[in-house]
This record gives sequence, C-alpha cells and structure tokens, in this order.
Amino acid sequence: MFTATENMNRVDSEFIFHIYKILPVILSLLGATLSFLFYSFGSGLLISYPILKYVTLVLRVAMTLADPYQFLEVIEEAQNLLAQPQRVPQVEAAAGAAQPQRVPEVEGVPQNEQLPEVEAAAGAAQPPRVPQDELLPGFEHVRQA
Amino acid sequence: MVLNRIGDFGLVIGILIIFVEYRAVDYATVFAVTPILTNKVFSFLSFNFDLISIICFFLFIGAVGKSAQLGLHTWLPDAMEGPTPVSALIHAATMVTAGVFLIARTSPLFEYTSSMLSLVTVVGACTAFFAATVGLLQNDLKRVIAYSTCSQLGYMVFACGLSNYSVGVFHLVNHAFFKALLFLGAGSIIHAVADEQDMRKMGGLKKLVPFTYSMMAIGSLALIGFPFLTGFYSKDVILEVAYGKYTLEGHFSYILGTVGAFLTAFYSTRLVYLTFLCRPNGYKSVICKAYDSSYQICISLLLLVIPSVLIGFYAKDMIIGFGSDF
Repeated sequence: MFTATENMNRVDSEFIFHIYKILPVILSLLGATLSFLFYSFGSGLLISYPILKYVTLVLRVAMTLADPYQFLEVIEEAQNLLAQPQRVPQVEAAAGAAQPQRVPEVEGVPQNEQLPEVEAAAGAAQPPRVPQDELLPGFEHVRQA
Repeated sequence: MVLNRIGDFGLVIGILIIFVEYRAVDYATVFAVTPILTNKVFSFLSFNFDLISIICFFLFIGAVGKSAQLGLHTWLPDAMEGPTPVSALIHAATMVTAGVFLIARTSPLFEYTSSMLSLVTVVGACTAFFAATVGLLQNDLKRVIAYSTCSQLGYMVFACGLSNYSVGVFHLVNHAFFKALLFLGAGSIIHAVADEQDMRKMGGLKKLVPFTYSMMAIGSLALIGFPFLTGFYSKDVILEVAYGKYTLEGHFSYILGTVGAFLTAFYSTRLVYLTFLCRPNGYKSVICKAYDSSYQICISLLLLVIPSVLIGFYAKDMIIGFGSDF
C-alpha cells in the first residue's frame, strides 16, 4: 500500500482535540443505553398519561387550526375590530373638551328625566364627527366601507 | 446479480483501459509507470478525461459493486437467503471485503487522483450512515447483520478514501472476526427457534440459549466499538483520521461516521434485546424447545470470540503502528 506524502495525516490525527477522539465512543455507549432503555420502557412511555395528554393537546391545537370555521370566526372578529375607527389623540382631546356640561339637578325632577332644553344642549355638545382624513394610516379601507 | 454485473463491468473496463494505456496489467509495471502518466489525457468519443482518474473511477465501480456500497448495495441483504455459514464466510469476511482490498491494493493509482479519493470518501461515508439507518428498522435477524456489514464496509472504504489504507485493512481484519461470530451466532439462534428469523417472534432466549447469548453479546459489543474490544481499536482510528484530515470530505465523513456509530450501537442493542432479553414473543411450542447448539458450533463460536476480543489490541501496532511496513 502506498500513500503519497501530502496525504499522510496519521500524525496530525494524533493531535486533534480529545473531544473529537472520544465523541464516537460516547455516542456509541449512549446509543446502546438509549436503545436498551427505549425497548425496555419505551412502550410504556408511549402510552403513559403525560405523553398522551401532550399528544391530545397537540392534536386539539392542530385540529383547531385546521378547522376552516374557526378561521372564519377569527377573521370575522378581526374585521370587526378593524372596522371600529381609532381616533388620533388630538381628536380625543377635542372630543373631551366638547363634552356636555353637567346640568345641575332640578328639584322634583328625576335625574334620568332631563328637561327638554337640557337634552337639546347635550345634543348640541356631541363630539364632532371625526374627519375621514384624520383616520389612522392603514384604516383607509374602513372609510371606503 | 445484476448489481454485481454492473460492478464487474466497471472493473473490466478499468482493466481494459489499463491494458490499452500501459500495455501491461501486472501491478509492478502499472505502479512504476503511473507517476509518469499523471497528466496524460484519455480521449474517448471526443471527450478528454484524466487517465488516472478514469481508471480509478472504473476500478471504484468494481469495488462499489463487490463491497455493497451505496447504489449497488441491495444484493447483500438479499443474499441473506442463503445458509448462515455461507453468509458468515462470504458475506461478512471474505468476498465483500474484496472491494476494499482492491482499493487498498491499487492505492498507487488512487493516490495520484485527489478527485477520486474524495469520491471514495463521500461514497463510503454515505454508505456507513445509510446502511446504519436501514439496519435500524430491519426485523430479520440476518438482514440486520447484513446491513451492519454494509455499514462497516463503508467505514473501510472511507478510510481508504482518506489515504489511510492500512487503517481500512485493519478494520477489515477486525470486522471479519466479530462479524463471522455474529453470523454464526445468528445461525445458532435460528436453528434453536425452528428456523425463525424474525426478531419480533423471538425474545426470552437469554436463559434458554445462554452460550449463544454470551457470544452474540460479545460480538455486538465488538461491533459497537465498546472500549478495549476489537471494533474499538479500528473504528476509533478511522474516525480520528477522518477528522485529522482537515478537509471538507474528512469532516463530512467524520460526522456521518460518528452518527453511524451511534446508530450501530442502537441497532446492535436492539438486536440483542429483541432476541434475548425481552419477553418471549414466539410460539410457546417453539420457544420452549429452544436449546444451545451442538458442541461443534459452540467450538467455532469460541474460536471466533477470542480474536473478536483480542485481535484489535494485539494487531494494532502491527498493522497501523507508526513505522509499520504493512
């Protein structure tokens, strides 16, 4: 047998890191041990309750994700959320300033039965409608809808 | 048979090219002339090939066919239909190693073509890994050992591809002993359980065939590379030189070889467990009548178990020691 001098590496291989020398032995012993443990207790482990519980949970999540009606519900909720226009802070502040003044209680009149002029004043003090051009960016489709 | 013919075809073409270019086929002449022909181009159908590379490529096809490397490997497990002593002799120790021997013997050719050495390394490493994964899922006792043979041949081939031919041959020698032990032990088991070869229908044989159990356990440990048994001394060195090559294919073969060692340990332990240690799964009438083989078989197993334990330690310095002429 002939080996070219540039291909000789037996001496180099003596000086590799020790971990690379013992790694195959470690893995061999690990493989033998795992095999013994798996075939000794593996069948019991596979049908044991915690693993079954985990498997059931995973299956439930997978089935939920795979169910098209669930997706439709999620999409519908998301669309409803998006359909509510969000206000910019300046508009919120303006709306707060335009809140109707609290009407002093009139004796003999229940609180929930306000006078007609008071109700008219409250109606006039409704917050102004938010201009369409002040909607948050990304909600233009809501305006179109 | 077809796969072997493909390998033979490659080998014949390689020999023919050698004859056309060298005008000789004896080793001494070919090896002496090879350094002169390193840059020669071989023309065929207007295509130019590097002469040494193309010769080595066809010789390697022959080795792949004979040593059951990836692509031409399926004949080896199928050949397990034959009698077990034949498997022990031919399919473990002598014939399948001819491919490895061919590569080692023609090393003066392979050494002048780095591309073919890389190819040999990659194919050997892939075979070592692939055959181990297949052996993991086999249920036939002899097929597990056959795929194990295939995997170990991959180790030998990639050791040759890394230019450490003596290490490959060392593993070849060691492997011959413990694999013959495993095959003969398997034959003893099959004989004991009324020619049943399915491991799923065995089990509980530890107390019924204790001698065969101990032989198979020692053979499996040697195959795994258990420290200070025979397989340890050669497989460990092969993986060391793979990493110590510091090339891409060297690291590739180291990783696949290391994972293959893990898988080898896994399926060897699986074999012993399903056959001997787990609860009996066969027919009661068969299992109850299981017995150790006759003393002739036991003697042959004993003769093989001694080198399976000791030959690695004693032959290491002779075959792969520094300064060895081997």
